[in-house]
Amino acid sequence: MTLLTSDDDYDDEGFRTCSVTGLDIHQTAEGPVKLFGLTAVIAMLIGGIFALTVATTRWEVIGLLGPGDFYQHLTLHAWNLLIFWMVFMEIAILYVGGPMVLGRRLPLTIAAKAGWVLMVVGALVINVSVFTAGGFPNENAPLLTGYVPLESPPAFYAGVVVFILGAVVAALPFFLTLWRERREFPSRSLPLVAFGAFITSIIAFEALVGGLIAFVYALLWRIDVLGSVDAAFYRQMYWTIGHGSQQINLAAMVTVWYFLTHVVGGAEVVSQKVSRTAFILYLFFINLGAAHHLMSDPVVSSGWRLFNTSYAFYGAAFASMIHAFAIPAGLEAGRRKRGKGGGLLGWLTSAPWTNPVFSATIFSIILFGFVGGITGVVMGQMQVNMTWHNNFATVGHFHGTVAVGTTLAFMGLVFFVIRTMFKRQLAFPRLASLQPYFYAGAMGIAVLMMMYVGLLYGIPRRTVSIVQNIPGTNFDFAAAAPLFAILGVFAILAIVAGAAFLLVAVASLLVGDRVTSPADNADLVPDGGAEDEGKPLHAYEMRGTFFFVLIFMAVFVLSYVANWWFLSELWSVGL
Amino acid sequence: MSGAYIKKPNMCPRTYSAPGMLTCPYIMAREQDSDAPFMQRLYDRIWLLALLAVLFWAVSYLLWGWLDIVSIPGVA
Amino acid sequence: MTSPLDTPDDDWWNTKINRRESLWLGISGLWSILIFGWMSAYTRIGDQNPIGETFETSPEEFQQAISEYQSAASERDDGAIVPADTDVYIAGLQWQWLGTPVVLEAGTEYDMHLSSLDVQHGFSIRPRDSLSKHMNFQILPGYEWVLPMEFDETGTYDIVCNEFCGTGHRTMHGTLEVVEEL
Repeated sequence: MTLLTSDDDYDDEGFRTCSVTGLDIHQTAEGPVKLFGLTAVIAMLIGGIFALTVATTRWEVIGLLGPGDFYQHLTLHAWNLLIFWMVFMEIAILYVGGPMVLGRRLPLTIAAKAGWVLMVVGALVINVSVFTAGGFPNENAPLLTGYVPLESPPAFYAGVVVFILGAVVAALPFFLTLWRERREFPSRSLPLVAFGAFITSIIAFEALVGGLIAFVYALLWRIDVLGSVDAAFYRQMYWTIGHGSQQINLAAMVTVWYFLTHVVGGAEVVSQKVSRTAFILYLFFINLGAAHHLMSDPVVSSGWRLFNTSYAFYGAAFASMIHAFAIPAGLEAGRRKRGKGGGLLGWLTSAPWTNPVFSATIFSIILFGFVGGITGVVMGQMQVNMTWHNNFATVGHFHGTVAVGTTLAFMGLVFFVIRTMFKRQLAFPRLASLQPYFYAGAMGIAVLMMMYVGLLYGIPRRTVSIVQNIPGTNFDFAAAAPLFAILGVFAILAIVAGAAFLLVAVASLLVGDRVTSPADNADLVPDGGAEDEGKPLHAYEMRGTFFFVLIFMAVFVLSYVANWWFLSELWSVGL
Repeated sequence: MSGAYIKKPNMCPRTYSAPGMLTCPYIMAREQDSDAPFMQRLYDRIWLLALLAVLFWAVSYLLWGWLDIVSIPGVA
Repeated sequence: MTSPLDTPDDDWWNTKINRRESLWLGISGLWSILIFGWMSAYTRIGDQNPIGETFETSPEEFQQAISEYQSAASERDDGAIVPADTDVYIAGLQWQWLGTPVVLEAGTEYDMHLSSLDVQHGFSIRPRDSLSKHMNFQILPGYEWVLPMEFDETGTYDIVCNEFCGTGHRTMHGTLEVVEEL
């Protein structure tokens, strides 16, 4: 496939040097990165189609689907976007963060290929088994969670197990790369991006192991090897991959932020110690947050809930706040060092805002932090969770984190890989430039509307129709209809913006102008390159960043207080 | 000045996966630098960190949760 | 080297930290401790905590418990259950809330015994005239969750299901009425 191979000049040993990043890239790494990246984009296309059917159903003015079909479409929307679009990209990110950053070949390429095959087979089995599911009573749509004992087709659980195993196999070459690097250079610290990729891989390991336990358990029950199934145990184990996969997204996204702000924005690392400490806090504590889904649950003790939901006294939330400073500060100090700073925000206004790789990354950082991150911590507080659990505000939260935050960062990365590995200019350059603005704006507003209908009206999630009427009752949520209109419009606009991304990406790959010399990609290198003399980085001003994080903290405090106040107005519950 | 690189080219030839290959003087010099601070060396011990982290998660989230589940009494 | 793609300088651990970054570490660290402290303290000083005893049960056992509860309870003219004492039993079942409609007294603390007779459901309750006030709990088959609740405001409360439980999921609805005096 000429799309995946390259007419690049690899030297006799199989390496080429990237003219944009300066990385030494081996052909054994580059092919798989492109393969996994392409597959991720295809998954996004499929999930995006289902986004349209789901959105136009929940907007009951259209009410496209009925209860027979809606839950299947919702399932396929979730699996293709939240899992397949994300995890295929993350394997690619591991191969970039490991072998490419370290200038090594990708070992065990057979595992990369076998892993890809297993993941694709698993994804296909999941898609087909859900799409053809017969419905109630024993072929219900599983949604993302497959909550036992609601029965779904056995092939679904088997497909998930195969997919998880495939991801484990695909991750092996990354682990081996790091093993060899550490053995060869035991007293050399990994570059920060490689360190971030390592952290991502261990978080992924925990999520995948936990997920295997959950789905093997459910599969054994579905095929009658186990006579009964414990819903509480399943929930606890399911969420190790349910939320754990999202923590993989977080760690991978933060690593990509460091990577892209540096490569196209000129950011540098202001403190290796501080950034690495934050990654280590993630390593130890982030997966405890799977407990967020069990806050309004019976069975699990309050002690377990308080400790785990807080990621150990908010250790991992502290880590996120560390990165929230370190990454913009890296951009600020790095750009001031290049003479691009000026006043409070000149370093930011002078940045390459027409480069969609840059703008996508920055919007990802801002919106993940302000919209997704803050709401995640707030709704994860054990008591506040009672007002967020299973309603549309929860849907708003995770669209803020994944659909806006991580997706934008990965869109930027795909554009970057199209330029530097597929060696194509972006087709429709004006559209490409505008696309991150369009998507961030539309999806951002849609997310806010989701939160409003969830919090202000208590609209349930996972329900085909409930606003206009509830059959057989005289109760409805019609008061929420105006907000749903705004939500519906902006959701559709966001989907169009996502389609624009796919149009640009696919057109670039098929008919984009070829990049034939370093000069063609020179515009990706920020400000024409670095002059790296000057003060030590920590001595540069970071007051612009400080200004932003103070605003962030103010929003955080306000959201926190508002949510707790709303809760305290409710009737009393609990021991 | 081409300005095409934002990172200095490696000062040594690329390393491949052959262990113990220390042909470059620059690399050799750094290998002898073993008096990095304890915390820095700890941060570099990624497999130790991974093991400790996975154990911590297994105890805090998995084991403790399983204990909660199995200690639920029957109906009063 | 300050690039995230390069091996860092040998002495990166001892490199100074920018003053504002240090200040931010202090602010965000303090905030982290604060919000943990508040959440924990609220379990003692607050009135809204999702904390209650859980018991292992089975659909048959819980069905039995509901039947006994309903026999002991009286019935209002419109068919609403008036509990005999402060134990209230509600079960999710495809696709209804057994034990509703029910009438409770304002200012009395009740023990809400919640379970499911088949699959997972979502117990989602709000006052009809105040949709922004809602509480949401996960209901599991095989487990009985006893959540104390005390309602201050009279009126009709609507219960819907917010966990997917099969085709008829959206039709699950029950009412809980709170009156001044029973």
